Amino acid sequence: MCRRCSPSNLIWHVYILAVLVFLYAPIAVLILFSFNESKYMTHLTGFTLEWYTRLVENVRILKALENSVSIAIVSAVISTLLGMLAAYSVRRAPYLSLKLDTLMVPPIVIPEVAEAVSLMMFFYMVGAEYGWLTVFIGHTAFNISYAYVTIKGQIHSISPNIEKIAQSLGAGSFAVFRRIVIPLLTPALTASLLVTFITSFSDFVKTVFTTGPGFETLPLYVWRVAVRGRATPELNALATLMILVSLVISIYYTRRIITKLGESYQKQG
Amino acid sequence: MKRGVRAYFVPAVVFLAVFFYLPFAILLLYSITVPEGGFTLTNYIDIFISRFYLQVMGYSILIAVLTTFFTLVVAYPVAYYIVFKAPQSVKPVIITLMIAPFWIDFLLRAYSIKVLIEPLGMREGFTTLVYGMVYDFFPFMLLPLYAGMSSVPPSLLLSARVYGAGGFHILTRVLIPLTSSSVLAGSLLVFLMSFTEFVIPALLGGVEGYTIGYAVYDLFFKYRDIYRGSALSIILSLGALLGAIMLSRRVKIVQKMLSE
Repeated sequence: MCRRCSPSNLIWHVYILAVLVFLYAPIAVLILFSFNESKYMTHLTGFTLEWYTRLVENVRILKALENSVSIAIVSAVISTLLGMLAAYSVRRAPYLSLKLDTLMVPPIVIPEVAEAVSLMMFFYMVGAEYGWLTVFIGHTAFNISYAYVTIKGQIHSISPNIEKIAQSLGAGSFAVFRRIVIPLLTPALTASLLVTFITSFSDFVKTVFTTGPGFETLPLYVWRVAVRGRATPELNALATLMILVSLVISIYYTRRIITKLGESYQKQG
Repeated sequence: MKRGVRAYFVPAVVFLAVFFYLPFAILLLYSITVPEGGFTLTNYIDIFISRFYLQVMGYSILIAVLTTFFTLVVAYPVAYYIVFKAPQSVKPVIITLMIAPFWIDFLLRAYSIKVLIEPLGMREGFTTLVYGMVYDFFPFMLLPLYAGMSSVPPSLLLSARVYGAGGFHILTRVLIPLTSSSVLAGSLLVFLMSFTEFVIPALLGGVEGYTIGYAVYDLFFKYRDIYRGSALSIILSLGALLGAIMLSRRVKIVQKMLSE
C-alpha cells in the first residue's frame, strides 16, 4: 500500500541519487583535497588550511582575481545597459524587433573560438594594446547579446497601458523609462547582470585570444597551472572558493528560473 | 519623442558592428587571401583535401556525437522524474541541485574531473575526455528537456495508461513524440558546443585530446597560419549558423529560459 516504496520508485530514487553523485562527486573530491595536507592527490593525510593561506599570499592570483572581477562587473553593467536600451527600443515595433534579433543573436550562436580569433586579428590590425580593455571588449561583445535576449523576454510583460497612463499624467519619456520601466524590469535586469557577470567571470576562450603578455584572469591562471602537469592543492583551494561563489549565485537564481519556467510551460500545456 | 526611444538600440548595434561584425568580415577576408596577396579559395580547399583536418574533424564529430548521446540518455529520465515523478516537497531541491552545476565555471568543472581521476587511478585519454564532456554539458541538455517535458499534460499520460498502454508504449508512442522538439533542441545545442570545445579535450584528453577547436588554436598560435586558421574558423561558424537556423525554435526555448 506504500506507494513511495514500490520497486519502480526505488529504481527511480537510486537513479536520481546516482546522477547527483555523478554531478557532485568531482566537486566534492576537489573540495576535500583542498583541505588535504599532502601535496599529492592520492591519499587523504590530514586537515590543513595551508593551501588557502598560500592562496591569499599569492600576488599573481590576487591580481588575476582583481582583473576577473573588475572586467566582469564593468562588462555586466555596460552590456545590461545597452541590452536593455535595445530591447526597450523595439518593444512595440515587431518588424524592427525581428531585424534586431537577427543582428543580436549570432554572437551567441557562432563558436566562441571563431569569434575570438576574429577579434584578435581586429585588435592586431588597429594596433590595440592587448590587456584589460581588449579582454573587456571581447566579453562585452557576447554579453550584450545575452543581456538583450534575457531582458527582451520580459519587456513584453510590461503593459503598454501603464506607460500610457504615466504619459497622460504628464510624465516625459525619460521619466516613464526611469520611474516605470526600470522598476518593472528589475527581475530581468538582475537576471541579466548575473548571467553576464558569470559568463565574463568564467570565460576562457575569448580571453585567451584577446589578452596580452602579463595580463591574466582567473580562468587563464587555472588553465596555465592545470594544463601543464597535474592538479595542485593550491589550485584546488582556488577552485573551491570559485565554486562556492557560483553555487551561491546559482541556488539563488536557479530556483527562480526553474519554477517560473515550469509554471509558464504548464500554463501553455 | 517616439523617434528618440526608437534610437535606443543604436549603442548596442554600433558596439556589435565594430567589435563583432567588422572582425568577422576581417576573418572572412583573411580566409580568402594568401600571404602573397590576391583572392583565392585555396585555404578552404587545403582544409577539405587535407587528411589531417578531415581526420580531426571526424574525431571531433565522434566526440560530439558520443557527448550528445550520453547526455541525452542520462538527462531524459531526470527530466521525466522532475516533472512527473518527484514528490512536490523535494521537487524544487532536486531541480536546483540538477541545474546548479550549470553556473559553475566550465573550466573548473573540467578541472574537477582531472582531480577526480587521480585517486580513481584513471588516466587522461579518450574515455576521460568523453566523461568530462558529458559532465560539463549535462545541464545544457537537461534545461531544454525539462522545459519540453513540462509542457506535456500529465492527463495524456494518464489516459494512455487508462486505455491500457504499458510503460514502453507510453514512452515510445506518447512521451518521445511529444518531447521530440526539445530533444532535438538539446541535442543540437550540446552537439554544436561540444564539437568546437577545446578546453575539455586539452585538459582531459592527453594525447587523444586533439580536436577541431584545438586545431584552430594551433593554427593561430603555433603555426601562425592566420589564412588557413581563418578559413577553418569560417567553416565552423557557418556550420553552427546553419544548425541554429534549423533550430531557431531551440533558440526560443533558451530565450525563454533566460528571461523568465
